[in-house]
Amino acid sequence: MLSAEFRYVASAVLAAWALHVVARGTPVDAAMPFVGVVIVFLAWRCCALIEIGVPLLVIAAIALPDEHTRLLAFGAIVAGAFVAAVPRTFLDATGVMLAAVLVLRWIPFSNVEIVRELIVLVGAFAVLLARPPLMIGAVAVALVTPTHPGKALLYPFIVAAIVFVARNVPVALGLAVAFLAAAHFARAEHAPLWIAAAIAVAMPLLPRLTYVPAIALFMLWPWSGLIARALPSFFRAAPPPTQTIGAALAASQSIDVAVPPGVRRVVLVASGANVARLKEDRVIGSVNGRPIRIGDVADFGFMRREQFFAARNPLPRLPVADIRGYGQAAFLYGAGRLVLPPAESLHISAAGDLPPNARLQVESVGFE
Amino acid sequence: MTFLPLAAVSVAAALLLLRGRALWRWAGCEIGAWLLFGALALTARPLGVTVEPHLAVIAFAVANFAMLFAFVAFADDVRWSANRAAVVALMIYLLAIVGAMLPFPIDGDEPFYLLITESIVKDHDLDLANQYRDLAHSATHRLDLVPQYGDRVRPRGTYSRLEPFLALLLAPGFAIAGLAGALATMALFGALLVRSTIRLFEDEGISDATARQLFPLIAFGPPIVFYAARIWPEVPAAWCFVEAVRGVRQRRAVRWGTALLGLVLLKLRFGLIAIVLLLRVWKPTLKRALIAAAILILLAVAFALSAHKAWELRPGPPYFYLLGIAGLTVDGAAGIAFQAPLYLFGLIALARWRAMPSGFRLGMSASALYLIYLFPRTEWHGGWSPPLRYIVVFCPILALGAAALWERIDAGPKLVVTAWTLGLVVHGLAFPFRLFHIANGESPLGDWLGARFHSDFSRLIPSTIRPNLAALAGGIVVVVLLIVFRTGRTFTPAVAAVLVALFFVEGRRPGDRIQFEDTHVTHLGGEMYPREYQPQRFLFTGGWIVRQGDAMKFLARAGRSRLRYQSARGATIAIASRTYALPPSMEYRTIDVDVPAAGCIELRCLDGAANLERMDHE
Repeated sequence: MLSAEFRYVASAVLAAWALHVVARGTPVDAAMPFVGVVIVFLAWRCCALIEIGVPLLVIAAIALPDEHTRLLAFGAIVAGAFVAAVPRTFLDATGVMLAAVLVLRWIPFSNVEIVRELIVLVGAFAVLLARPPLMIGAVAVALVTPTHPGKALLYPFIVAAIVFVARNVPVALGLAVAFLAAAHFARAEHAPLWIAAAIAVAMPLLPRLTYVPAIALFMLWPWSGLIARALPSFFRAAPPPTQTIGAALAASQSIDVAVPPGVRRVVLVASGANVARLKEDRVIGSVNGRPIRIGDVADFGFMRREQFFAARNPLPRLPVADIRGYGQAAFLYGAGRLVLPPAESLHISAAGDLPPNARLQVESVGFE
Repeated sequence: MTFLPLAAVSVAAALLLLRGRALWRWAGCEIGAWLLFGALALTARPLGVTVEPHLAVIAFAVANFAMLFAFVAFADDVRWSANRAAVVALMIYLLAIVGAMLPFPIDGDEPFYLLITESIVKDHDLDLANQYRDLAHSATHRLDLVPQYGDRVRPRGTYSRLEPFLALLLAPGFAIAGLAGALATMALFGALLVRSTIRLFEDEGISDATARQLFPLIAFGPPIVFYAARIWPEVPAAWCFVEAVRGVRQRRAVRWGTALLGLVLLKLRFGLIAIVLLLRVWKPTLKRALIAAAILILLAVAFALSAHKAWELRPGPPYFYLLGIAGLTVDGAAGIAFQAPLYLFGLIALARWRAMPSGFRLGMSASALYLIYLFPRTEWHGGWSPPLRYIVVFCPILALGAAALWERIDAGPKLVVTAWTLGLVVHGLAFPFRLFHIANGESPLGDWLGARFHSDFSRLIPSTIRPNLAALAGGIVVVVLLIVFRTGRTFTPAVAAVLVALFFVEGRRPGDRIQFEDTHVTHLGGEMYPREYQPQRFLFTGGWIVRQGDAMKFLARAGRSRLRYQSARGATIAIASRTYALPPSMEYRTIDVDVPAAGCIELRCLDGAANLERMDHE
């Protein structure tokens, strides 16, 4: 008779091979063998039923040609596996938590800075240790922890200390409310840190139904960078218009765009380049006399993992559904939509006081 | 399917089947599931994910009920009885009818049963001539109906070859609510079947826990769900058969007598089951003798008046038996392994005959004569109908065998079977028209993969409609399985994943045989032979007719191949850069062709016309 350990090792190898063979394309597909091993690990430690996730992943990899649909299916299946993974011991809880953090932060592998990520893992473990066995807080904290600058790696340890201290209900509740208030007033780049801290502190007080948003967000692990840095704007994002302009305007430069007759409204998509340090409401250009501000648009790449923490831009009010990258490296392109009244033409100009290397990027325009 | 009826049925089913802590936990999970579905819908827009709404809703509904039945199967706080199961089944069948079946036209024999029902209700006769004349006002919503092969078309009237008893049963429902009422009546029979099956399980000593786990897979899994929500005599017949078996086991002559009478009236072919069952219970008392005589006389009269002929009772040649047996077991389009995998356990139970409950042995032995006549028929797969039509009648008995084994089976095979079953249900409810598949040797799975990857996956899916190597291999695997199966613990989900991956990898390679009518061939002009909806299509040799200027592209292996064709006038074709003359021939004949390199090649018709059947690599 085969031991359970050997049986699961064999299953892990088979799962990795099967997913390696069928999942091709994106970095998330490339990481699917690892995800298969994670699923088998969850099945071993928590519930044998979870292993059904492996053939489901294989079928999704084969059956769904559209990239986003396939990755979302991967997300849903893996989220389902984690939902079913109810740990029985602290050791199991630690394993599940580590697996979740690995899935959320270590894909794509090419972007992983091993030492810093190991520190994040230790930090997440500290949060779990501070309030075992509730792991959602630890995972949330790990998800949003920036690896740049290096001092930001202290964040999970600080949260762990707070969680450890705030053990009684009034204190935990008070701190959670305070953190949420801080998130409201903090700049967009720091808000996720406050919110994750609030979740970690308040976790024992929350009813189980509040796990639903956590599960829903976990389904987005193939774009975990979005969960960490682009919420809640991501849900407001709409597809960009199809008529590309593609002009980058330096200070005082302008272009004119003809508007066809009979148009009810015009949707202009614009972004900034090298404007990540500019604050909210700073005017970077105008269209037909209407100012284009930071807040309407943002630096196109400010939500990148490396730049986000140091940036000053808020998320665009009407963002564009343009997702770049995968896993923890995924980010929402910083373009915003401006809805304009009909006119004969659009005169778009960059502000005269733009910094020398900054640009107003006119991406595309749509007529409705 | 709208959300309100779905939510209402979910809640009502939960209230009927759960209580206490389990009910509250289910409620939490249910709310969570709806919120998650909403979140997914919210996420789909920014991600640019487009999923067919009908498919998404059906998939959610199936997942939702799967969650409920997981609670019913594994929770302690349940309210369980055959009656409760039947009520829940009725609600869900009605939901399936309203949400999934009604939006699509009825097909196969269904519109003809409905025409008879219409005739009974409106004209009080069985003459369908006026129904065919006035199809625009028919509840069938089918304007293309004509009398079928075997119907009696006479100056005095047009009479269907189908037995009118089902139509008679549907008449009250039809009179009240038309097609929906007829379908609701079918749902009622489905619920009765569920009740009887659960009672049969209880009678035969199957534990409640096992019955609760199997109930959703039987009642809402293929093939029963697809026949309980459509107009076929199979589900009422299955109910009659189960009641007959129960009646015999309980020595209640009136019960089995009535049930057998119903069985025979529904479909004459079920008389073969009735005969064996009568022989099994034969003990010469006056009451039994009278019942048996009545049934036998009825059978004889009905047979004489039916479209069936005496020669049909002659046994077929052995090879045809092999095809039928292998087909019903492993065929991708019409076999148990692919279309209702739960019943594989029932087949395994057959191999453990002595250890099985008496009801199972009685039921299956009663099916023997029926099966002996079914196996060699060219239409063993059921023709133009949802899969497994001819064996729906004893699915509950096979389920009893599966139930007797259930507790011994490891979690791995159960999980894989459950997941596959859920997939089949979602597919069948979201696309009911795909339940009908032309008998060309492909299956819905092979069709879809072939069209998607332009590679011949169908060759890896067993078929005995167009016999292939996979059918032989599948047949051997099943035989080995029947002998060696103990618990199935080595068949883990990871092993299933590897099999799927291997299937995918091998399927993308060129095969030895190209069937030109298959979906993996890219057809640039030409037409299918015979036409797609040719009645009894399985009797023809399929192919693709090409004329001058038509072309096909397909994956092929390098080297010499043999092309099989038929051409009245002859044709000239080009494969890659070489041309070949196809001499005229009224019979099928072959020519040798060369494929210069493995990969996608083009076959072009330069002149004439030919029906190209297949190309075999040598």
